[in-house]
Order: sequence, then structure tokens, then C-alpha cells
Amino acid sequence: MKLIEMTKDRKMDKKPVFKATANKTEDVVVVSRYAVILTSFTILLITLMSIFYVGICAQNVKSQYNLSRLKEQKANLEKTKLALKLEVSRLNSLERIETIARKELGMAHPPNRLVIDMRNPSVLRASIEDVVAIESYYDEELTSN
Amino acid sequence: MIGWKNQVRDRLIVVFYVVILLFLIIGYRLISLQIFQHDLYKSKAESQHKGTITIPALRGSIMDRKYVVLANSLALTSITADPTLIKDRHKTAVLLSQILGDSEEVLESKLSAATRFVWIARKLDDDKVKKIMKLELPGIFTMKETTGKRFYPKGELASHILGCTGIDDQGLDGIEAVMDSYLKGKPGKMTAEMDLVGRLIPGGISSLVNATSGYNVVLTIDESIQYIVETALEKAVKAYGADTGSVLVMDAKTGEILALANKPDYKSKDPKSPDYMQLTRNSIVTDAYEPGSTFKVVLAAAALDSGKVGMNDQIQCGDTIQAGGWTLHNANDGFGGNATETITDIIAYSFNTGSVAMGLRMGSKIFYDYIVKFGFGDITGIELPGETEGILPPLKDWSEINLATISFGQGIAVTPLQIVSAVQGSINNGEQMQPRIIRQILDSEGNIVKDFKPEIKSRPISKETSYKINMILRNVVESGTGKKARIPGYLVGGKSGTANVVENGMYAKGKYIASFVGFAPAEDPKFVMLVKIKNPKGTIWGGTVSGPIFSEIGREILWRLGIPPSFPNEVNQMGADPSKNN
Repeated sequence: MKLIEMTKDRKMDKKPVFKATANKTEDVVVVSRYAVILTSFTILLITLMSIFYVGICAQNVKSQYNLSRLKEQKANLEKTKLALKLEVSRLNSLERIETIARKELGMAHPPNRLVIDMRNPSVLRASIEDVVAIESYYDEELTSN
Repeated sequence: MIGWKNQVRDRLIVVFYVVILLFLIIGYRLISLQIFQHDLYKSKAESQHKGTITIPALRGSIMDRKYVVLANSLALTSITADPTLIKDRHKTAVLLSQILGDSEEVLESKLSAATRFVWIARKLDDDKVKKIMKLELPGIFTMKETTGKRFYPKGELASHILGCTGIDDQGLDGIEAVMDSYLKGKPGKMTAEMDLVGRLIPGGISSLVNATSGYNVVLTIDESIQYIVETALEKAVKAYGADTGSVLVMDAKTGEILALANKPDYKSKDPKSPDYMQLTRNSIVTDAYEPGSTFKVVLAAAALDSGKVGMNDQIQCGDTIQAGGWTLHNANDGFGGNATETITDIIAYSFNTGSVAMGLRMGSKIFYDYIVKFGFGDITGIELPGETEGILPPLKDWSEINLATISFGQGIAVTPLQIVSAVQGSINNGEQMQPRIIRQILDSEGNIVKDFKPEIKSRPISKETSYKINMILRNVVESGTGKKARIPGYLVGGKSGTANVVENGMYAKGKYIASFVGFAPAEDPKFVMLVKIKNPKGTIWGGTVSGPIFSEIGREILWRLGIPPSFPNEVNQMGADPSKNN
């Protein structure tokens, strides 16, 4: 087993700051000041990194919970959107519109309809009397073919 | 001193070995737990903190041809109970009754069930669920359903087309049933770790199968035309005191169904009423009837196309005709014929004797072949459930009297869809289109999964015969039995029909089916429509009862489709239907 005793020599740079001796032997382990600083710094760094890592993890967990909550919120909003779409469809139903128009607004179908052929008002399509002529035309066409 | 030191050393050695032994025991236990009993404890641990969640999949929508939603599903929550945890059943039932509107007795009996799970209310509105959960009743829980609840935002509109779904959103009738495999979604499943309050632990998802939403089905029907049809039909059925009424509107060029309605509707009826099941039938495809004189369209097409009858041929058309030892008469509808008539007048005035003469001139074989070519005696294949093929006696069973009666539409049973499809084929250059009611299938993102294009089903007659039939049917409306089907400003073609109602295999006395099948505008047909009224009171004739309904619906459809009138002045002079001015 080893016993360790500390020296107080701080004047010389490369002098040992710690001296460890084995029981009644001359084995001495010399540790420099830099090593102590480096070790302390490393420990500090590891500690800080650990704290940082834990912080990040905590943040991550929090974010994940937030994400989960937002996903649920999104699902609810989508459900609301669907419900609203259905409501729009219901409100747009022709039966409802006609009922409101007739009963609440006192509206009615127009008594007369006026048709104006904007393309050529003076030329109308074939009259009913032309049916016979068309029939004759087909008969002639069929005969000639 | 040395003895003391040795004693200490020995004790240390003992402690050392004890510690080593303890470590070995712990090590063995660890190895045992982690390796030998790994699976056992893993499953135990998972069962404690892992849960499987079913991700709901919503049923797809049903839309009209302009993508107006006719049916849609919403994910809702249900209320369940564990009766063993309920302290005061009566009080709980009273409180639930106030919100749900169900009777207290029914609720109390549910809460008294000898089980640990009962449904209290399925798929409730969110407001009601919130109200119930606010009460914090012991033993009452919520459960998110894996399927949605079906809603029909247009109410009863197109109910015979859409059909209905069950409590688990499964299709039971109509399009809902036929297209169920497309409409229903596939629920997903997620296995994940959860915390004490049931929230997902981040990163704890061990398996995830996403839910697949159902496809959306786009129909060929047009909401506005469907509304016009249903409104007019309901009014007509009431006005004539009829038992039922049906209207079918088909696109004359594509065979797509634009509207289909049967009245009275079943959705507003009490499901326990005796006629409820009968009213749920979509009689346009499920019920065959004797078409009466509307079948003369098929007779005329067959007679002309086979060349057995010419347009100018004079055909025997007296008041009576002999066939198979029977004497057959014309209908007593006020139209009298001459000894002979042309095919145009026989159809225009619906002379039975002239029709029989044409049938006899053709013979059974030719007529039967044309009937089959037009698709009678077989289903059309439309995407609606319960379609019947009608009744077409086999050719070997045809006697002369069968030939004679079938010539004027008796002794044969057809569906309204078959008649409309046959007339469509007759006036569409001889091209009979496959009747369709499904237009597209879309995925949940709106991408087209399947597009149903119009397709020619058969060519029963030539283009030339088709033109002749068009002319003959125009004449029916211009000067024959279909005058009341005229639409001011437009050329219309069609054929009326009056047939006896068959009940229990016999003709029911005093009961008739008045029908009219027509198309407009005749020079470039946009639609073919059948109006069928069963057992009207007062007048019974197809042209008189169904003709005006055809006219009213047809006018609105043409205006809705933006088809300009051929004779604008006629519209300006006659005005709109006075019956609308109320």
C-alpha cells in the first residue's frame, strides 16, 4: 500500500508539487502543476459538458412533448376543418337556400324568362316544321348512298 | 500489537471475501435477470409502460360530379362505463340522461350490467363529450373511435344513390356498400412507451404503421339536377296521390347518370314503419315493371333496323287485331286510328294494334335478338347494389300472343334503367353507352386513382335507324301522346307508356304505372329522362301524368346546363312554369 505526502516547494517550476512514496521505499511519483491544471480543467470540462448534455436532453424531451402536443393540436384542427367543411356543405344545400329565399326573403321564381340570342338575334335554329324537311333529306341521303 | 494487526487483517480478508461473494451473488442475479430471464422480464416491463394505440382511418367522401361533398366522416369520441366502479347508478344515469337525451331507465340498466365494459353512447359530438367529462363521474370514460361517424350534409338528397353506413362506418347500402372497399380506410397501429398520464414518451415509439385514409368517390350525378328532380318528383307524387314515383336522368352521350330519385324517401320515415324496407329499395335498378308503350321505342328501332318496316310503309292499324287466337285492342286513350298507319303515327299515337302488326311482321326471332342487343334480360352493370335483370321470357317460350303483347310492352318486365339505356342507345347514333354512376376515385390528397371514361356498351342499331327513331319520337311530342312533355323553346322527343301494375303475379285492378321516357334537345340530345309514377289517382295515362313532370324537370335541366333554346321567342311568349310562381 502507498502513502502519499505533499511537499510545499512552489519556487521551482519543474519541481514536484506532490511526492508519493511507498512504505520505506524511494518510489516517488512527481506530478507537475500543469498536469493538475489540465486534470482540473478536464474534469471541469467533462462536468460542464455533462451538464450541457443533460440540459440538451431535457430540452429535447421538452421539445418532444411540445411536438406531441402540437401534433395533437394539428389533428384537432384538421378535425375542426373537416367539421367546418361539412357545415359549409350543409349550409350550401339547395333545399336550405330555397327555403330561406322563399320563406324568409319572400323570393319566388321569375314569372317570365326572356331569351336573347346574343350571337345572332335574327337567326334562329331550325323550326319544328323543318323536321319533315330534315327527314326527307336523310331519306334522300340514304337512298343516294 | 502485532496480534491486533493480524486480527484486523484477518477481518479485512473476511470482509473482502464476503464482499466478493456478495458481488458474485449480485453478478449471478444480474446475469440471471438480464440473460436467462431476459424475455420474461422484457415482456413484463413492456406491458407496464408500453401501449398500443390504434390510429383511426377516416372513411372517404362521396362527391357529386362538381366535387360537392355529399357524404363525409368525422372522427368522434364515445362514452363507455365500467359499472363496477360506479357508486350511485341512478344519479349517474340521471346526469347522463340530461346530456345525452336518452331515457334514464335505459341508461341505468346499462350501468347495472354485470360486466366491466359497456357502451353508453357511440360517436358523440365533442360538446356532449366535454359536458360529460366535466361531471367527473366515477366509472365513466371516453374512448376515441377508430372509425368515424358518417354525415350527409345535403340531408335526404340522393339517399337512394348514397345508401348508408353502419355504426362502425361500414357501407350497408347504395354507393356506400358497393364502393366500400375504396371508401373505407385502413386504421394504423402504434406501439410506444407512455408516461404515467398516458402521454407518449419522446423517442419511445417502437413500431408504427400509419393509418390509410379511404379514397374519395366522385359520382356522375349533379347536385343541382338531383335537387330539381327530387323537388319536382316529390311534388308530383303528392299531387297525383301516387304510391311511388321514380325519375332517372342520363347523359345522352356518355351514359352517365345525372340524377336518380325515388319518392317517397325512406330517410324521413320511421324505420319501424311497415313500408320502410320497401322504400329503401332503389326501384330504378331493383324493381322490374311492365314498361307498356315506352317499349315501343325498342319495337320501332328493331322494325326499322331490320328492314322489316319502312318509314312510309302502311301498317294494319284497326281498332282490333288477332294474334294467337286472341283479340287485341288499342288503349282507350282518346286517339283513334285509321285502318292503316305509318310507323311514325303508330308510335306517335301509341296504337297497340299497329305495334302488334309490326311485331308479327318482324317475327319472334328478330324482335327477340334486338331486345337482347338493347340489353334487356341482363343487368346493365351499373355500380349500384341489387340490380335485377328484369324478366325476358326465353325465345323458345314465345308464342304468337307473347310476340304480340311484348310488342306493346306487356309480358316483359324491365327496370327503369334498362329502358333509359335502350332509349339512349336509340337516339345516340346507335351507340348504347355503358351506364355509369361512378366518375372518379381520388386519394385523400385529391389525386386521381381511377378515372371511369365513357365506353360504348353495344351498337344495337345503325346510325341511320337512330336518326329515324329520333324523328319518330319528336313526332310523339309534337303531335302524339306526349304533347304535355313539350318544353317551350326546345325540341323534345319521347314516348309515353301506361301499364298495369302487377301484384302477386296478377294485374291489379285499377292500378297503373304512368311513364314517359324522353330526351332533349332533340336535335342534339343532352339527356334522356324517364318519369315513372305508380298508381296515380285521377288520370292514369303516361303522357298526361308523367309528361308534364318531364317537361318541368327537363326545362330546368336545360337551363341549368346552359343549353340555349332553339326557339327563344317561344320561351319569351310562354314564360316560365306558373306553378313556380308562389
